[in-house]
Amino acid sequence: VTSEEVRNLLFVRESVELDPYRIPATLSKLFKDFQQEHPDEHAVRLCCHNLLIVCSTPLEARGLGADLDELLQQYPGRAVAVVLDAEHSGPVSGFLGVYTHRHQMAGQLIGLHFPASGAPLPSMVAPLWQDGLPLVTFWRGSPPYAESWFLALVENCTRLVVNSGVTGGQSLQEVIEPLLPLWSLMRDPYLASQAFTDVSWARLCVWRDWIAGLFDRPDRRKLLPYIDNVELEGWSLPGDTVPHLSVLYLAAWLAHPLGWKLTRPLQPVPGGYEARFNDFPVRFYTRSSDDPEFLGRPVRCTFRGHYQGEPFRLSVERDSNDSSTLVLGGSGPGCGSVGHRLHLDRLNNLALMGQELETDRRDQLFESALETLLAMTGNLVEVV
Amino acid sequence: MSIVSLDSNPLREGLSSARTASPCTIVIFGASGDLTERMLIPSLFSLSEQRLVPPELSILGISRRQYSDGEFRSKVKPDAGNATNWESFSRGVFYMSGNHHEAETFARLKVKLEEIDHNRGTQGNRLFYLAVAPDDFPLILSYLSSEGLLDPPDYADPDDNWVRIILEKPFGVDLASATKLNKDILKLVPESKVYRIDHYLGKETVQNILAFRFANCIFEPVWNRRYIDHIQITAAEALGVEERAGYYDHFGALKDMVQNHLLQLLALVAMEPPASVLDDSVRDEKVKVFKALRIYKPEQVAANVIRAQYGPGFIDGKPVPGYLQEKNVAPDSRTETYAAARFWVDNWRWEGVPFYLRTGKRLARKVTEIAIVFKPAPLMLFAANAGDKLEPNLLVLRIGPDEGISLRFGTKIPGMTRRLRWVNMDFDYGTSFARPSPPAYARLLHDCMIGDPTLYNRGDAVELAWHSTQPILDAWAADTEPVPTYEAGREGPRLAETWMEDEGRYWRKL
Repeated sequence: VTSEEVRNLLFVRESVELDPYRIPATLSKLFKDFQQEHPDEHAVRLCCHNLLIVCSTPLEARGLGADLDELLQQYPGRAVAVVLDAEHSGPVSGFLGVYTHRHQMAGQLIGLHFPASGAPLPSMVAPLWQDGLPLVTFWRGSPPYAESWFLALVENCTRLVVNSGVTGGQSLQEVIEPLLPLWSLMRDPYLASQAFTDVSWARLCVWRDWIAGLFDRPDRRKLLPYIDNVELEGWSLPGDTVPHLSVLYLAAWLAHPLGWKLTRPLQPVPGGYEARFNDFPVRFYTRSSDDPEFLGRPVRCTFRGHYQGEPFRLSVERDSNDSSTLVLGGSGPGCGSVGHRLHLDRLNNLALMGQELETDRRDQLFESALETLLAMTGNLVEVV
Repeated sequence: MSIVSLDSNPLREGLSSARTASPCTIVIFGASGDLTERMLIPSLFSLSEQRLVPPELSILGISRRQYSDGEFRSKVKPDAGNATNWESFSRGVFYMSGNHHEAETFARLKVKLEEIDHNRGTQGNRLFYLAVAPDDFPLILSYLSSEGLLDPPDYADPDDNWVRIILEKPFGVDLASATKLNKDILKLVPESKVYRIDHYLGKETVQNILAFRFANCIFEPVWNRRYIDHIQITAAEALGVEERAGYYDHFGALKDMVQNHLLQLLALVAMEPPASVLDDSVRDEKVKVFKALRIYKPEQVAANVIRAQYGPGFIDGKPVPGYLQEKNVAPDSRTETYAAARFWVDNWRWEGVPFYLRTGKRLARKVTEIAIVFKPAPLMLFAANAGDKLEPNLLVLRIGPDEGISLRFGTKIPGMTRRLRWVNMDFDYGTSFARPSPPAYARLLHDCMIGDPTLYNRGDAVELAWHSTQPILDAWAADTEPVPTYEAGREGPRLAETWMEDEGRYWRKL
């Protein structure tokens, strides 16, 4: 793609060309000009965060412009969006867009069209960050974990967000592969102050919320230790034979707060896969859809067990006719009154980025879930 | 079987909805009133959409008017929100026609609540919201007590289940009535179950006062008589009495705003750091402030408190009538629409620091803010001329509109001179966080459902607040002088300006 096309991908409002090697000086002039244009105002710079978004390929930048535009209006800050392009042989091209709120300079978006090697990138963006504010790095596409310049970027940021579940897979190893280097980074003692997350995990917060909601009532909470069967179902692309990462995350999440110990790793069983926790089965099923939008979304989570000799069942599942409606159902002691239909707001990219910008610490739950997930798929020993 | 603690829901860990209420039935007395439709149901529905209340949440409206459940649901349906969610939520909204002055209503209520518990799984958790005249509070509570409704039912788990009561303001009309009300209520129900609501305390920016003071160590060291000259707390409105004229004419600005909202703000600004924000410590510290408020003798009132009524004038360029010309206002009314008072907190921290509180209707614009005016620098190093006085530093906590915080400080103008310019460093609450602030009622209802009374008034605090305002009311009742007036759309009565100027201070411009 051309630099002009990259510009169009990143900016939905007016932008100017920018010398990528003189960005700090350009920004400094920008503030001076702004002050001169508003001599009667006490202009201050409004900035809550630094944001770096790196797209591994121009393809990953699709739809990014609109999200960034809205994000910067809602979260004033400085954002640098970088598009790495293997086909781009020329020099780095730069663009600048400015956001204002009343008399306040409330955000700058710097777009860079970069050759495939990002080696100079850390040194170019380091002087741009507003001191003392969080720096969140979103990586769209496959991160170059092995590159030293990637590590330099990670060392500088406060939070790294990757997306490991952009595709499904034919084998468990294929699904798990992208998580191994992420797990290594998280265990690196030199990166102890950095926080990490995976989009496939972050998107689950709505489902985690509804599943937790099944057990808010104290009388239903009592059932938790008596669960002896769990079924999870998620959407996958046709041909994918293994559960999507997000559904595996869901099971791994449940294990930690409920104190479930893995007793048998994931194995294929008729119709799906099964792992065993505390010697009871957690089964995974896939539902196929051609729509890539559906990929990885959970469809159903069902808990079964026996309490004082009586069977019980509690479930959260999508309405088969309307995928944006969840049905909460149940039967057995204390579960009979469940029967609600609720609208499911999908966490869009914008909301997801906002959620991550507001999170300021390591997510221990994510780390526990990832550890369980790797153990579940037999990868933990290998990594350690 | 795994062993995990089930005191709370372990699956809520790490979720933004960690403090989710348990299923309950909210019984609203006075449900046909405006408050239910405008505030309570939209707030509860928004909590439901944010998954902060469980799907089993049930609401039972009670008033004398005749509605079916369906009619009531249509009447209270909020404009905003998802249709599927409303369909599910509204299945838990019920209505019962009944007169709360009659015992028979409560016998039916008991049956209805048991039916809801059975059908909806609300487990005997009950929240009674009394949106009725305060005189009726004891009557309703005594009927609830007679029917055994002030305790969870026999079938509930005594360790997990609860009954709570929210009392809508005003809490009394004077010190005597508030004291009697407290006494009558506490005979029937312990303080731990009583939640006296003041929606001001549910505002995000009001809660932020505590965060601002006690999460930042740079302000607390100068938050005392050594560095602060005085504090101004303002709640100004451009609106007149509108459709509240009948109510307002019996209350006036002092009872409607100063006795509750503004004194609450004063307490938050003046209180000592609480030991915790998770127990009753915040309310304990506020009570200490109210105990330290100086009580005026009748002869001191005129020098420390000003009242006035708005006359005709212009708002946004349009003519508006004076207070006495408003519909439902007595033509000879002496009710004040403006009050300004100087309060003193007699303790070590605030000795000699006046707290100026002012509120009024039909003023130049709507603004609620707390201005902390610091003392000027002790030495005028940068004065251009001998005798020049530098402006003091000023910290403004804007409660609304334009919620935020600004700090004024001096800075040198570039160049060869030593001239200073005053600049404001501004923090805008609205643009710094993408998430909108929840409505005050949503926050307070949610707090009550999870059993957190921090943002509710305790009985002793309410009585102490009345204690400091009662002498003012008494002095005004005995005063036969005409009530001063001010032109609608202006800054307030001229008297209030000169009152401050005489002390070498001035009100902040509205």
